[in-house]
Amino acid sequence: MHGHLDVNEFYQDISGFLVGYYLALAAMNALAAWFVWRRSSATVLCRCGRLCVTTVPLWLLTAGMFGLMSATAVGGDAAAIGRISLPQWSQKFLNVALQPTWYTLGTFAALGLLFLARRFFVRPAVAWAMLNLAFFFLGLSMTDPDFARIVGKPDNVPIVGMLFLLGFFTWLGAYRAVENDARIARGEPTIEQRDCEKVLVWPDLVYIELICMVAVMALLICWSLALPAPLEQPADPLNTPNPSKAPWYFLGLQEMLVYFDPWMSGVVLPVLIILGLAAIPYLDTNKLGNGYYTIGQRRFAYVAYQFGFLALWISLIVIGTFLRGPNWSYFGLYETWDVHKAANLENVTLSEYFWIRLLHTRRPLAPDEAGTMLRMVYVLFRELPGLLLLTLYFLGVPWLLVKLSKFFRRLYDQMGGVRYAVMILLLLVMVLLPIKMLARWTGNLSYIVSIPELRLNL
Amino acid sequence: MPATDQTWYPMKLLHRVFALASLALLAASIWLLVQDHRRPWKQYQRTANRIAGRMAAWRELEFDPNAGSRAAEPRYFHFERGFPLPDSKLLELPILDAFNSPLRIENLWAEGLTQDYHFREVPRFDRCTTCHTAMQKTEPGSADAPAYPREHLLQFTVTPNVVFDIRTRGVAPGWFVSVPSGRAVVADWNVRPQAIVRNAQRQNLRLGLVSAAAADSTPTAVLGKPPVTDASPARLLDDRLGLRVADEGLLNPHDVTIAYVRPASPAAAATSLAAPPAAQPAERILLDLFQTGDAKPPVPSAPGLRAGDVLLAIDGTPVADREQAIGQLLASEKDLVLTVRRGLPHPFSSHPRLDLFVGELSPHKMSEFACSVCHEGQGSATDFKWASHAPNDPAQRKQWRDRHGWFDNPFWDSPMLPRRFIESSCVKCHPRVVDLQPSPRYPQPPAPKLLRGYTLLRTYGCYGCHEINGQQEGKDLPEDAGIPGLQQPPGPSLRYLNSSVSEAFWHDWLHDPRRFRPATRMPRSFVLREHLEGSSRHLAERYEPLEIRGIVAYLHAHVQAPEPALASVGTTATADSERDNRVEDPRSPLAGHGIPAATGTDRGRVLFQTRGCLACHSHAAFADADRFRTPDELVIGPELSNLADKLTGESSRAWLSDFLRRPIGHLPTTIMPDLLLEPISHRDAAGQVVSVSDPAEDLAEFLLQPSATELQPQRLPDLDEAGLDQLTLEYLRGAFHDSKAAEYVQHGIPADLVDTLRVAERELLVRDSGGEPAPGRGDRGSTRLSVAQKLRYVGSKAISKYGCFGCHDIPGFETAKQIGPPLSDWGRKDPKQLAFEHITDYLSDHRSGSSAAAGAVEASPEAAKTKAGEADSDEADAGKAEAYFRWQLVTASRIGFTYQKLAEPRSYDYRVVAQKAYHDRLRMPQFPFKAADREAIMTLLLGLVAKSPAEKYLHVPDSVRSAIIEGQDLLDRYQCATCHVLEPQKWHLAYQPGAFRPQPEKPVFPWVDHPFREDELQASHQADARGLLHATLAGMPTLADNGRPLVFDDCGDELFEDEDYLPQSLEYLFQLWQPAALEGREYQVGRGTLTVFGDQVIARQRASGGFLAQYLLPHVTELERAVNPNAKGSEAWGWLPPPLLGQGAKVQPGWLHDYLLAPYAIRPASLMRMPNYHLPAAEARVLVNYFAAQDGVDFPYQTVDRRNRTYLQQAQAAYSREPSVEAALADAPDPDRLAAAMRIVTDKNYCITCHIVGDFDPRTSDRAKGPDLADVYKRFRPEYLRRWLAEPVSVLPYTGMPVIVPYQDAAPHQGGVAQTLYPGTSIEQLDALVDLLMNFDVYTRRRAPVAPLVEAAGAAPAADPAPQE
Repeated sequence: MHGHLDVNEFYQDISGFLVGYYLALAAMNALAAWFVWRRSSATVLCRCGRLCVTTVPLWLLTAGMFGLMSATAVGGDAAAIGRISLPQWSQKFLNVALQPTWYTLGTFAALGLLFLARRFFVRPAVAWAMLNLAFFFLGLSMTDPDFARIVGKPDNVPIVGMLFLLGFFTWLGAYRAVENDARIARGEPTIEQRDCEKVLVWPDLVYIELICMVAVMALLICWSLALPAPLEQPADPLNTPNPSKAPWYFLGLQEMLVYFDPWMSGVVLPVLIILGLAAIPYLDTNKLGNGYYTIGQRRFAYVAYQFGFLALWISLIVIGTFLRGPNWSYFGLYETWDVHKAANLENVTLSEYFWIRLLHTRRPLAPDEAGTMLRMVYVLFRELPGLLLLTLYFLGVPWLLVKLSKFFRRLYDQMGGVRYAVMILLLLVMVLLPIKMLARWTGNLSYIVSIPELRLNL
Repeated sequence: MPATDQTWYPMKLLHRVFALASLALLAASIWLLVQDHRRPWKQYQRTANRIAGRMAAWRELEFDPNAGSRAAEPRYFHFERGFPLPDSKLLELPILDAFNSPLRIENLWAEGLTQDYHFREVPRFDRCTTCHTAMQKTEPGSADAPAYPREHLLQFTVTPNVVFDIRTRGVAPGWFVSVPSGRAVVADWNVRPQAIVRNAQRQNLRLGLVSAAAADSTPTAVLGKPPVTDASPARLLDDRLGLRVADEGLLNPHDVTIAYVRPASPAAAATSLAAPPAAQPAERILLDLFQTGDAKPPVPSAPGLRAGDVLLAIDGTPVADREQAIGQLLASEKDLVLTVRRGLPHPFSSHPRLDLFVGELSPHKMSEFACSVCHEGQGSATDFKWASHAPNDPAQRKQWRDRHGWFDNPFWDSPMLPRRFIESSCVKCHPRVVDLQPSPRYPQPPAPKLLRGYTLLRTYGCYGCHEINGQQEGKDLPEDAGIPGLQQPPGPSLRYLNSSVSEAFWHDWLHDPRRFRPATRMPRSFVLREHLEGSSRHLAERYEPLEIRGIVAYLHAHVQAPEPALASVGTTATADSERDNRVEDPRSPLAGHGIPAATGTDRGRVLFQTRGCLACHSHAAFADADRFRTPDELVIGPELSNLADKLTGESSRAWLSDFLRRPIGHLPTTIMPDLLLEPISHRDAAGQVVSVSDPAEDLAEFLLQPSATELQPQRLPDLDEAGLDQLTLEYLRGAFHDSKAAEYVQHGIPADLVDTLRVAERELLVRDSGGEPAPGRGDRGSTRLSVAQKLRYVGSKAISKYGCFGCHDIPGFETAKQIGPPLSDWGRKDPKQLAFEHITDYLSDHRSGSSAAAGAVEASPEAAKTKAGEADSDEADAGKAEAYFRWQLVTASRIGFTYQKLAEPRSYDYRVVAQKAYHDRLRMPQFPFKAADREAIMTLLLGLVAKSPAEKYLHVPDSVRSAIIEGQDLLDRYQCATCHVLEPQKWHLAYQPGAFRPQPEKPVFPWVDHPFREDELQASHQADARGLLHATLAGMPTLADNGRPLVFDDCGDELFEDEDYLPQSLEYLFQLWQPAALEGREYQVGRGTLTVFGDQVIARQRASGGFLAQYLLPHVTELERAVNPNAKGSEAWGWLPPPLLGQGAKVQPGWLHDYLLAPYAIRPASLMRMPNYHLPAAEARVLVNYFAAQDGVDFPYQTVDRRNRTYLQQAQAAYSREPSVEAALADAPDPDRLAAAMRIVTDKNYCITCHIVGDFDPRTSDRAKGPDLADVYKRFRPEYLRRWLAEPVSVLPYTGMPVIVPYQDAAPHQGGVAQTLYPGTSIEQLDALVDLLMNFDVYTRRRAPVAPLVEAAGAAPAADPAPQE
């Protein structure tokens, strides 16, 4: 493999990074312990009589552990590095667990859990522990050459950083929302109402912007010096890099190309996303929750948005960045990106499923002498199962929801027919994506409706 | 909002944050500037500038030794005028270096050369010289000596200036030898300087030279005690050794570096210790004179210490610092042994071979070609790692990784070529490869590895299976090697099988050719099973014997009788007279040698040795001949030992002797020439024929003598009929539907289908009892296929599967396509398209031993690193190479793939084979390549890029050079250089002035001596720093009477066989074959031999070609002396194939053309005969053009003025007008000038003593007999003949031919032969002789008038018969 590196050489290369990384983590935790101790805001973990165990010793312990790990990494000795690596079995387990079906279902489940247990997760100590766990996991994984190659690629480093930023802001929003919900329940004003964050343009805003400008400039300079851009070969349309990846913010779209026709994932769905986002103010009938963070008062909006953003958009970017390798094949985090990895995929359309696999017959085919109209009739007849299914999905499901769910019934009443229809259409299109993904992974379903004669594939 | 002082954020905090952010920005900006300032290329440029500055300052010292080194260090400011002025060095400071600094990125634009970016051809530009700034730098005053050679270690011996005591005043300049008594003996230099030197060395005495200056002054000091002086150590060092030590080193300030070496000082005269002298047996020394020699001329750089040398050790003690080194240098009274490091490492060193590359006078100027077109890599990079440097071995890789952060850059398609494959790039513009042979302009081979690869590729016939083009658009790389069948294939034709070879032998041979013939070039196609496991291995074990049987059955079934018409091309019957000359010769080398009484085997042995068989074949009985071959010479013919094991049939002897008589009659496509063997008569002392032997019979008897090994062919397992059916079925399935295949395998293919079948399937046609296809008899069950048919079918399939027809001419496969993939763009092949499969598993499962060795090399690069300047040991090299290729294989590069493919071609089938059908398995056979061979072939393959960088850069030699190249190619193919010397030996000398005496004065005709130009003579008189002169002699060691080189020890005796001698201490006699200039004097050919002392020879370059002649010299001398004890071995060159120097200027092109097509015996003295190669006329033309082009004479046509009728008439008229002639005419009845010349020829003292002239035969020994003068007019160019007659030894120094017409400038008639023979001056006599020989046919025509014959005939039947009445 080009760029092949002996594993011992790799350990020597990575040891410098690990030493600094763990030292930084140790310092971060020590700082946290000091901060918590100074602020006397430590969470009490347990009480033993008069003895009260807070998080301060926990963070100190964590700092010590990271310091130890930092010392272990010095020199890059293979045996020592082995001690601060993920065990082989867990790597194998994770490779399997990150197979697309499990990954997607796992994402949904994790989001559900986070949502349901949000009051627990928004606690600073828990969040800090989770952050530490994430860094811990990252550190242990960096000793794997394949993982390090993907994560340490200069292009991907900012994506990793942004994942942490995303986690932080999601947590911050949820934290304030949970706090506000509690306040509202207690009848107190929300944080935003209490703080009345009105800021002067001068000096507050302009000054801060100046400071930000200076700080970001310093950051960018340091960043460009530490991770300089590689000198790559000239772009060559006949010999594109493998894998050829879109910029990180389009990786979700690129991933969608696997499941939909290009015009669908490249044109229709992005347009729908933009239109849908633009339509939100007009669809939203809930008067509550304006100007402050809340989940309790906007449960449906919150869940729907976070599902679309985190479970669909961000998770697709993660797939595209970290789990898609050469030939856009799916690779586990600890799997070597082998150009020759052969995926034995035989994608089948729904009509093939129906006619050939289910009815064991040929698909309806117009006779040779048939005219255009007759041919179309045959095509429509062939694709009847898919067409029926889609009709049922887009017409039947909204109706059923209104009929069976009190919540949707109330929504229908509040929004009225047109707005409800638009909202439910957007919602169903959004949900169609994971359905289609799962159908592809589990059943190799290529298209629900496939009319290559009209270049129409759904 | 109303204005208020209240702010939302605490301003104090914001101020602090702002301050911190600003500090961070400041720090980042500083970091930015530091990084910019410290960019590696800037560091390199600063260092390079410093080196250049210091070297310039040190060189200045040579002109003004008192200058000091004030300019050594550039400064930021000048202070000389009392106030500081900024220097340009200022611009190298941080930040400032961004503003028009002398440090800058260099762009080299190669406008004419483009780079293929797939979507567009873009102009190529390189920035390599940004770091490699000194690439083009040459030494001052030299066009191509590198100013900064690559770092290497040297050892020198320096003799400090001795202080001597000479009590007498006015000592003459010369050598002195100090003796233990403290007195110096001054010896006269002119007597025998070498003897003085040797004596001094032997007695361990100090030797010095009294210079003219020293002689004039009054030396008073006493030996051994330096004069007391208060001079500084530096001054003392200068006095004592003539060198100064710099304050700081070039690269490392602590290096103790020499800054100045005074000319003609001990330091300048230091002698290099390349290898310690070792005594060798006399036998070895004599053999070495013909065998060894370095192909490379010596490095032209002057010997002795030089400014810039870094002192590493003094007398074995490592140098610690400057003071200690100076102290040590001053302390020693004895000779000092200094270890120095010369040159600089990359990127500060100059490019090697500036005569060929980069230099402005070279054919590949840097300004035109830049760098990456040859080196590949990313030329636009200014950073080591992004430039895609390619390490040459794992140790270098590790070193680069540690030092430069090197990594395997995946972002560039064509990384640089590692040093071992650097010659690959030459193929891009030199697709013919053969034009890269050494030439007079570039005697050092420009691309030896590539040429070797090309030779291997051609010899092993890679083109038989692969399409190999260097260029697209039909410019085939091996122009002559494109299509098998049309050209000489590397293997013999299998169309005319020899019935003397048993079927069992064939089986054994195909099974493993190396069993019978370990040195064979035939690859192994079977029994390559290392990669096979379990059932796939069993399948191979079962099917391979069937395929072998099948191939043999197929070949035997299609054997043809050679067509007699093919055999007669160019063969001429020997003229009767010639036959007489040879057969009736009573003193033939074999006659009277005890051989007639001896057995045919003995006669055959001598014939085998002396008739040239060894040129193309080797034989265990003559293993000593192989020592004369060049190390990597490919013996074109098969080894012929133990032939009796192969030819076991009853008629084998008859067949072999018949084959030897007329090879082409048995194998029409063979390259084996017709040896023109004729019966030899043996006579007793009385001259009576006692027996007649047939050389062909004798040779056959010798070759078929029972072998020592008595190798029994390995038997194949018994025929497995079930297996045969299965294999047949498997092959049939490829052509028919399964059901049909199953039917056909039982009952054959119906004959009706014959037109739809491919060749192989026709073997299975249903046949009638006569063996003819029987139409309509393909009914199920009515017939059954015979085993023989199935075997033939399987054989035919196996032949097409293994591609046997690529090397052999096989009936039925005349139009078969090559079986291998094309290699025309192998150098650009995308590694992703190569099927590496499970090769790493294969390696780890099968090569744990060798991989451990490779790993060891990788793990300890320091241990593997050998001293620079010393040759790496072969083992370390092999280990490094093995580790390198293994690493390349693991990293899935095309280099690794190719290496493994050549080493174990089928290993890529490991584990994959289980999923493959038997006939789809990999089929490339395993060639017996050594590791070096594989590298050579890869060097060629990696250069095949299908496309040249630009059409106009394709090397198109002019017509003369082109003729030479084509001729060289042909000479190589027919191995002409095995018999004929093409270039004599070249000895490079460094000698003291006065070492060679002037040649004795001898009056010669004015056109004989080679005129030297004044500058050539001047150049030979220029001494180097040691005071030594340099010269190159071209010629051969003088031969003693026993045919061995003449060498004397220091007592002037010839060498004793059982003693050891120091080669440096011996005296060698050298015969000049080409004139030389020594000490400003001319040394012409043929004026006695030169005595060369061993210690004067700095390099010896072996002769090009003629290994057989050199090997045979003592042998033929011995043979001849057995018959004629007075025979002179020094003339033995004349009995062997002639050296082909000056051949073009010697012979007429037309004659040579005819001769090459139909050679005949010219020189009776020659023991060998030029065989008939049955050359096509076109090839003969190429060879004629080659020789003419080599000598710069006209070709293809040439006019012979002396045959012009007008010229002859004028000459005759002038002759008749001569007073002396008029006077003589009274006595001589014949006024014809040519007739007068003929009197010289026929005089018993002159030509006819030795020469055959028409019907006259001098009846002397063959060895002393000269060629027929009647044929000369066709053969020689007149200029050559004139020179040859004037002074034969000036043309061929070893010839026995005397001067016929002596020349005396002052004598009456300027010497010459007796006036009674030919009145006139010697020049006129000589010219007349030349005219006679050049017009011999005209002369004889005059003597045989036809008119009288007609008149005589007219007396009989009348021309106009009268009507009968």
